[in-house]
Amino acid sequence: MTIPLTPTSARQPQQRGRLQSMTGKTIKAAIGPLVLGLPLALWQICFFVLPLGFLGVVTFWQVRNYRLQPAFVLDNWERMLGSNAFQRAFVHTFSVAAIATVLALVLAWPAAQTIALRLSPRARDRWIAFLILPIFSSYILKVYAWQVILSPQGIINSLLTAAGVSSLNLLGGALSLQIGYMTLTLPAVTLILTFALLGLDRDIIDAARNLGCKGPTLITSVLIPAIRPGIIFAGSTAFLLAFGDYGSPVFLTGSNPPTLSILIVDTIKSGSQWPRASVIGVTMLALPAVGFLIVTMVKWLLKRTRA
Amino acid sequence: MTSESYVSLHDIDMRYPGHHAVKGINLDIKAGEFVALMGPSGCGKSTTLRMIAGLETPTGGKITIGGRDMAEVSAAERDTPMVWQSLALFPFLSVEDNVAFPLRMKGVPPKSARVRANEWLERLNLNGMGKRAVAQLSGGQRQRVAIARALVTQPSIILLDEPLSALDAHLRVHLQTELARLHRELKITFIYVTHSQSEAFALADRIVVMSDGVIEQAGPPREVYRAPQTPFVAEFMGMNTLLRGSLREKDATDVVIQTPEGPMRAPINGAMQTLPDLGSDAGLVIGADRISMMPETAASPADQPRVLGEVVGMDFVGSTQTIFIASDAGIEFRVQRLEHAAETFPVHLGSRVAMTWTPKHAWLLPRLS
Amino acid sequence: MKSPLSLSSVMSFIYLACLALFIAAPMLVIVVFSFDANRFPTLPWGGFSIEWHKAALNDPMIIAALRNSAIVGFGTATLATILGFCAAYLDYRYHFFGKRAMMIAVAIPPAVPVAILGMAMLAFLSRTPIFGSPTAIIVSHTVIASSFAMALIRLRLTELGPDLEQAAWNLGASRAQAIRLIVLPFCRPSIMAAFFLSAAVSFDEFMVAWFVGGVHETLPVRILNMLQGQVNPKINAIGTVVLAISLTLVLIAQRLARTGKETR
Repeated sequence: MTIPLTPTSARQPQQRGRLQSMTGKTIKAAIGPLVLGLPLALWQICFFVLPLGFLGVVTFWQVRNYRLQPAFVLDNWERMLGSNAFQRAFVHTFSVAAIATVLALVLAWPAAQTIALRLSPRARDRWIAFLILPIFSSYILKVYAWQVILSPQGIINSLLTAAGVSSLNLLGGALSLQIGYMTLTLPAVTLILTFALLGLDRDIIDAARNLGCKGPTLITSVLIPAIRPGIIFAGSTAFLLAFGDYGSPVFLTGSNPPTLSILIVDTIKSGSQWPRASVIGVTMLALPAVGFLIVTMVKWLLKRTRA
Repeated sequence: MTSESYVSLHDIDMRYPGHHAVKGINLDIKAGEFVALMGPSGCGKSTTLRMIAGLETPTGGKITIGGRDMAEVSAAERDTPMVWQSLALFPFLSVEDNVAFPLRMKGVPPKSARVRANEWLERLNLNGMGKRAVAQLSGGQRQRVAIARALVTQPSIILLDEPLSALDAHLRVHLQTELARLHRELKITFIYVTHSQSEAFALADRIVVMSDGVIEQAGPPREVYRAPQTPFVAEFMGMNTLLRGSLREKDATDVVIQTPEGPMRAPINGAMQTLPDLGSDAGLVIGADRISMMPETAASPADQPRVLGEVVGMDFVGSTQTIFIASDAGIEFRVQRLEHAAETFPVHLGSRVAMTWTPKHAWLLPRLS
Repeated sequence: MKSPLSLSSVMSFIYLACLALFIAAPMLVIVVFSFDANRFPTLPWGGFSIEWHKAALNDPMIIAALRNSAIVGFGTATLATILGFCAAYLDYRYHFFGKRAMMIAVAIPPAVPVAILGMAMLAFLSRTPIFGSPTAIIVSHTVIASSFAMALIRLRLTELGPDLEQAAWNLGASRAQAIRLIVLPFCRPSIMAAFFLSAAVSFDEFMVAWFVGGVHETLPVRILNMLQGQVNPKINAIGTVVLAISLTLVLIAQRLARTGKETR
């Protein structure tokens, strides 16, 4: 943050960042942003930027006699990136998160389309309110509830037994993991898609129908292209949530195989191997950044080749 | 700055990144004057008003109000209340509290602030509305609240930024009359930004036409209308036909300009200091109500110009008809006549017509840019 | 046009209902089985009982966790609302070099996986005296919650528009007076909504709290620790309380955010 300039109004973007000589009035005008901005900037730097930065530094430190010591060694990176356990966990976490992303988008889409395009405004607002609730309410409890529902003596199996069907082994597999991930991601993904569809000009849809477009074609050739940024946002949200999740893999698959978040917790809680845990963390943070970079580059290349 | 000038803009400049909004304008406004700033959107008129209010700081030049340099005076200290296009009434305050707000800011105790606010509400025919919420009022009533709020501190100047543009035509005329009455009674300076010619002409002592950050012309409404100084003003005032050409002859009283329609005579504009040289570019303007239109076959007076063309557009406002005619040389002429003239000479799209005017009614443009 | 009861719309409503059931199921299970007399939550239902609720409320560790959660939630909500307002107002009113970076730093924390955020806060805060105290949890939760607080208040400021505050300056109000008399009253519903939502965010978060809280367990951390032990019927009981609290907080926040829209 540097010297704040004159106030601007949201409606007139051309007024941005105007230069001005340093008069008494300018200094007075700078007091507001400083009073409001300095504490905020300091807070975010101290308790967000610095801790994450420190994590990056720790990856080069060493643990000697169970104590963390400053150093500059690449040993942690070499060890972690070269370790089979890490590589397996990485591939596993990435693939289950990718599956969860696709699953969440596919499952949320019809619901979002119904809420945004079929319901009355009143009903729509109620559904939106309903979908916001689970995002902020006790994820860990919901995972536990699924454990209860899916466990060998749980609710589903007792229903099956009562119906004369032999009980199924539901807990501890890919299915239960994805159920957990859907609990985590579906409300948010449905909401984002709903808002994206609501932002769409209804005339576009009516015009498409008027031109003879209907059913699946309407979705693939009008709705999806029209709200692509919304879909990308919903997808990245789902991926980030699933990729970093700890609750579902621990309680619904019994950490078998472990995901990166589990690896982090285990590395710290059992071995105090801070630098190695930090390597995992930094790698996880780098992944979306690298992904973003690749997407931008591919887009740029496509533009170049087309031109 | 003249001695009687109250608000004075001196070489005022406003630059935004990539946009030069106001380019060194000079303007002196007398105490008690009603000045209208006009121009197309983006011409800098609102920016100029906001600079006078202190909501924008000019990047160059000096603004004085009552002789005092405003450079170090904040918006809050200027006492230049403004009536906003959006009205900017505070939605969570009652009507009364909205009007009392500026008094409270000046440290007037709540009770007397309320009394004075209600006096102004009465003055604007809003008796008994003080306790209501802003949302409960009609558009016209809200407009009055906004005006009352600007006048309650008895300022010596008030700024109005397109205050009537959100109202329908009927209410607009009504409030226009109200504003004229207030100006007459209060004798304070009004600076009024508008894009509406009828508002500006009905209200203002002086009209300032701006375009692309510069003042094109400033003067009484009739002067701006009949004696435009630049092609822009001639065009902006609407009902004019502009003929460009080169100066062919000049004598003591008249000039002759060679135009695509042939040589055209016009009297020398008395206010012009020097005439352009022979052969240099020149332009003349003919008001739409000065041109008479007749059938192609009819003869026109011998000492008058004659232009032939075809009707390409027509516009009706009440009893007035505006006819757009493309001359054979490709220039668009605008002719206004009373609607009943159509009884003797009906025209329709595609009609061939002849036009003529008295040369002394042609106006020689003093500047071409 | 299609009639409202066409096959496709019936199907889509059924689908929506199924999705709602999937989302609500785990919460319903928690609540229903908290009143089950059985030790292990399964069918058939073992009869109505509030025994586990009593047991949970008599557990001193749970009571301590509840108190910690209340302290942390209140502290987080207060701080996050203040910081969120500052950030939203700065973004709304001013332009300065580095604003974008600052706004990103405020907005992004919820996107960082909590395991990493928890680890980073642990590594960093363990070098400060506040480590292992409720303050450490408040500090970390505030970083997450201010993002939501800012979003809510910023949205409301967009509705305020640029004119209202400038009108106040124009009528003689100082910068501070305009904020106090115009901006704050206008934003009050969203500020309160931000407070309750921040409290809900804090009340729900267990990973970072688990990392930096040391011996100070918040309610979700207590539940996490109980889950890692034996099957414990008290979990459902305490879960019902937790759900009731967090749903109430979010509902209040929603209601407030909506009243804000209506007064405009």
